[in-house]
Amino acid sequence: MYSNSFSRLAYLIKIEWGKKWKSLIGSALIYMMVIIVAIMNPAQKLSIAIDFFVIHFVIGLTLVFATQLFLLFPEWSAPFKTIQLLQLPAKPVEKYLAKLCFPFLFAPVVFTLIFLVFRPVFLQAALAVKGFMTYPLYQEDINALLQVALIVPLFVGVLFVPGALIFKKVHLLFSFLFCLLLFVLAGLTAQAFQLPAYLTASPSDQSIFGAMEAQLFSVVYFFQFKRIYATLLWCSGIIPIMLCSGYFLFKQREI
Amino acid sequence: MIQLQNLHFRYHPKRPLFEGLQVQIDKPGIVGLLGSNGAGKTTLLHLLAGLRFPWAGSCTVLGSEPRKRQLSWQQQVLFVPETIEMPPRSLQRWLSELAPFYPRFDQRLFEAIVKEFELEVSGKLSELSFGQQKKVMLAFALATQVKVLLLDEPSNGLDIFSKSQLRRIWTRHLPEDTLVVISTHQVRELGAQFDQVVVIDQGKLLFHQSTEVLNARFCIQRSTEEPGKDAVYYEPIPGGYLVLYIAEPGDPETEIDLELLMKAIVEKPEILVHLQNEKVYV
Repeated sequence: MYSNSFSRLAYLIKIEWGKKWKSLIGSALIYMMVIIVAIMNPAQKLSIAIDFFVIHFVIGLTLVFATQLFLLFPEWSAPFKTIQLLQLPAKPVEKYLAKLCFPFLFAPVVFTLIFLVFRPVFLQAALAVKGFMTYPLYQEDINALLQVALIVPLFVGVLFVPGALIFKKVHLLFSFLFCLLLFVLAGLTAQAFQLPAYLTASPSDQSIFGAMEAQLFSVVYFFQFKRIYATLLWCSGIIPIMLCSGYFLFKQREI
Repeated sequence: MIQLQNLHFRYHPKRPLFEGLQVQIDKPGIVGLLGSNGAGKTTLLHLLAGLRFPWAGSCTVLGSEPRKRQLSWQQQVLFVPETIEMPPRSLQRWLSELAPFYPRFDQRLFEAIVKEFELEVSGKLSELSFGQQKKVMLAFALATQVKVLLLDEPSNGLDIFSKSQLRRIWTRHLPEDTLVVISTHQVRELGAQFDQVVVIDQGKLLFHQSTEVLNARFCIQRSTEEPGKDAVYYEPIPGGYLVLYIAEPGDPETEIDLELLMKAIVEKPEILVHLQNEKVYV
């Protein structure tokens, strides 16, 4: 019997692990195979980019994370599964946290561990081709990997959580389109109110579309140049809002 | 145990389903929830299970609002839908995942019910037939020994032998303090099990009465000749007519045919007046 929240949460995570470990570890292993194949070609040309591993880590983690995000609430696809989840005797917060653990905790941790375990295999694969020794992973690269492992789920992934509770199917696509809409609206608002832009439109393209494009990219540039503000904005506002609204939507979810 | 007061619910803003629904069920037992297609039986079960939320009015089950989905409440209320879709897992694994969440779950009772259903489960649950999956789910629901069990068309998908097994299992294994609300169209098969009957129609409570009172208030007879004006309702059957009369003092008590009564009420709503008070003639 699970009399307290911790034991119930642990048990819920155990049940979820039983359902999702194959997709989690499987998708990570598949991407390891992709890296091994991908390293062959540049190794043959004796030129591997210094950021090869970091780039593949970002892509791989994003894919594994997206897979787990896609499978966040597979129960919504069938009424019986929805009923089973909603009426399971556990607190909504416990069920919600048990679900969130997979994309936001297990996906980055498991993928990073598997990546680091496979690193010697990548090096061996590169070595096997023309005896080429690629760059090893330096401490800086490992730090970059760990940053990516935090940034992808927290700064991008949270935007997709409310959508996973609203939409029954293809919620990632709907959430992406919604984010794109916000992005366009931000650009249009900046253009309409002549807000300061960090990138001017091309002098040769003075059309409204050219100006809109410049304003849109100014949003991106804003985040690049003012990274600390963007981090603060995300940590103090966007992340809590997205996670709390996701919880509220889960609590109020009907079949 | 269940109290609905002035309940309003709608799927579409312009098409209300329930408008001011009032139902109160105080005693445990088996309650038949009846009504025509689209009357809102399944929706009402969803509202009672906290799977849908009322637009207005109050809905309380075991003294708590279902929409809050409180832990202690969820341990005492279970809804079994009409369509079952068991997961691709073994029975043991499925049980080990779900059963610990129900404090009164009785493993021996589950095994006894599975045995009475003559079920042999090997392999994955998803590979079982629909009827077998339903039996597993019903066995689980009964073994949880929850205080309120909400069943939507429980006998759908069961063969005739299983339906009689189900009736026997209810009689034998249902705890005395459990309230079972059964939404069904198959009143001839399950009607004899009901202690109370709740009929909803066009978003309102048509009547709520105990079967004891219904049996005393109405009388069913078979007749070879066409019934006279004293018959409330009749329908032709092979070899004659099945006739519903208002029981008079001294009439022998017969078991009510709920299907016939429902048809009678739809055709002659004025007979509802005979269900208004609790007085039993016999």
